[in-house]
Amino acid sequence: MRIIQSIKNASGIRIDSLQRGREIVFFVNGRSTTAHMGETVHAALIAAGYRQFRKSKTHQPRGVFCGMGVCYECLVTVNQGPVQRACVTMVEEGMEVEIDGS
Amino acid sequence: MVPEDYDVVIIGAGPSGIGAAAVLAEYPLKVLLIDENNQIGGQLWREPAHKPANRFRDSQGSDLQLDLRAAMGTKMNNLHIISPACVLGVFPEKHILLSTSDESVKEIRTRRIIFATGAREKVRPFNGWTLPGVMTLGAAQILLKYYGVLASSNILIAGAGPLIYLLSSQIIGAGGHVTAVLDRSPAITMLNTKWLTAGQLSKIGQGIVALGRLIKKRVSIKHRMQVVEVKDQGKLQEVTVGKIAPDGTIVQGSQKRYETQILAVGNGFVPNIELPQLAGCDLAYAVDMDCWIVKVDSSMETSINGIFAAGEITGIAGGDKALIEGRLAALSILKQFGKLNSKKHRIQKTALLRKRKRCQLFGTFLYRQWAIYPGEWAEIDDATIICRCEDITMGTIRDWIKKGISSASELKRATRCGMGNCQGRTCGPLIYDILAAYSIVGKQGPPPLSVRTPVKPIPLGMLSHLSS
Repeated sequence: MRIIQSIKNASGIRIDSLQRGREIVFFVNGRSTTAHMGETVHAALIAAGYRQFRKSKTHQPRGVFCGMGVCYECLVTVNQGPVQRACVTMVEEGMEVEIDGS
Repeated sequence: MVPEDYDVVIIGAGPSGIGAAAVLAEYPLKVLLIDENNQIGGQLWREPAHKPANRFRDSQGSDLQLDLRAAMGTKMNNLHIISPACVLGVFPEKHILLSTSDESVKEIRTRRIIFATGAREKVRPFNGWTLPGVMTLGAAQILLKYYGVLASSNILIAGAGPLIYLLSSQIIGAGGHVTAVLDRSPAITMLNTKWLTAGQLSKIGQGIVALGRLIKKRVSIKHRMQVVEVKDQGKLQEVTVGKIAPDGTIVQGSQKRYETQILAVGNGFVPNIELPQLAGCDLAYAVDMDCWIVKVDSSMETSINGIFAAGEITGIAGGDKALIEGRLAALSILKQFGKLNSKKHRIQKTALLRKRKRCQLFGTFLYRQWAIYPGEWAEIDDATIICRCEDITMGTIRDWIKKGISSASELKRATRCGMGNCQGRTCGPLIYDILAAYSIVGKQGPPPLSVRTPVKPIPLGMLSHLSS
């Protein structure tokens, strides 16, 4: 099967066997990033090559862990509002996502 | 605010919740099905976002087809579905506090409740399991199956149970590379006759297809291996694994090293008992599964009249058992409402209970594969984090146990473990295991962590919308 998208340095890869929603643009720490309607924020971030989403209480790197809304490890700031679980939040056109990936 | 009234509220729209809803939708009852996810179907039946799931079938494929949207359309719209929505609290008098996607909180009253809250994954901790390059098997599977995203081109799979083979096969099918499969169970259990006695022929078929793919791609499958440490080396993860001795310790000198981009790991599942626990339903410790479950009778009714539990929360055994129990709970409610005569009820119930028994055997078999041995906890070094929300380490927990702490709630007060955002969902089951491994009271001694409303963190402002 052909891999359709592999961004430079990216770890996540969108496969071509899945029919996708229309392409949209959202922002990760201000950087415009493509995603598809119907994707969660966590899927869009992983596909764009992001792995670390936040830091823990003792400043350790964290990212997607359970992927199903249980562990709260993938918390990101959405549209300057309160932090949300990236794995249960759908990505939207123009959405501003802040991660602590440094 | 006037509470909404329903005849039956089903919490959780996986196989058991949908199974119950489909039975109840045949009758003129006002039924509400609630799910936390954007799409209904649970982790097993969920479909990719662009094609919302309408039809569901059991693992045999032809035995049953549920068409929920059609049921909603033809039965006077008496089946209501709210998703995504989060149940924040359930009270014994059958009041439910619900937070919906429009950021409001509402109160619901109902005559009957079915809890069908499913299960979550359990991971045996190791040094580095909190790194962003380590995720659960389920997380990698959800990314791939529902969003078409391979977490990376190279994925190392570790843990136990059928999911390690299923996920490996799915990764290969999607064009990804499986670094290796590290199975904690010995090779012989793959041929265990329990699969046959449990009537799980279709599962054997799936297993053969998955194994065939792995063999064709020459994926290395190692048995009795456990991840000991993961180190983040930039784009690559350096994973150290070791051979598990019969007592759970790691065999000296058996360490091996792998390089991979993502490690996907899982040690089976634990039931999501928090909501039934909050409602006051009696729990039981399932000694043969090392987890707390909701106590039910053969009607799937809990210790509270009119509150039912179905699926993984009454004992882990997979989707087939969940579907059967959902239907059983619905039949019991129909009987209580006088919608089903005794004879019809009895015949259907007996048939379902027989099928359920076979599925439960499968659950027992699964557990044997993913059990964490008491001896393993001594192998986990002091620096390894156990509570990921509060960064509480194995060393801290061991220290407090040495000081005489013997229950999860005492440990929580002493260390803050289980007090973070996930409210003990991730570390709770591990803490019960650790306490059992170190304490003299044994497994069934201390009760699980207590649960309070709201069961999931929400912005405080949302609660202020609720006026008395």
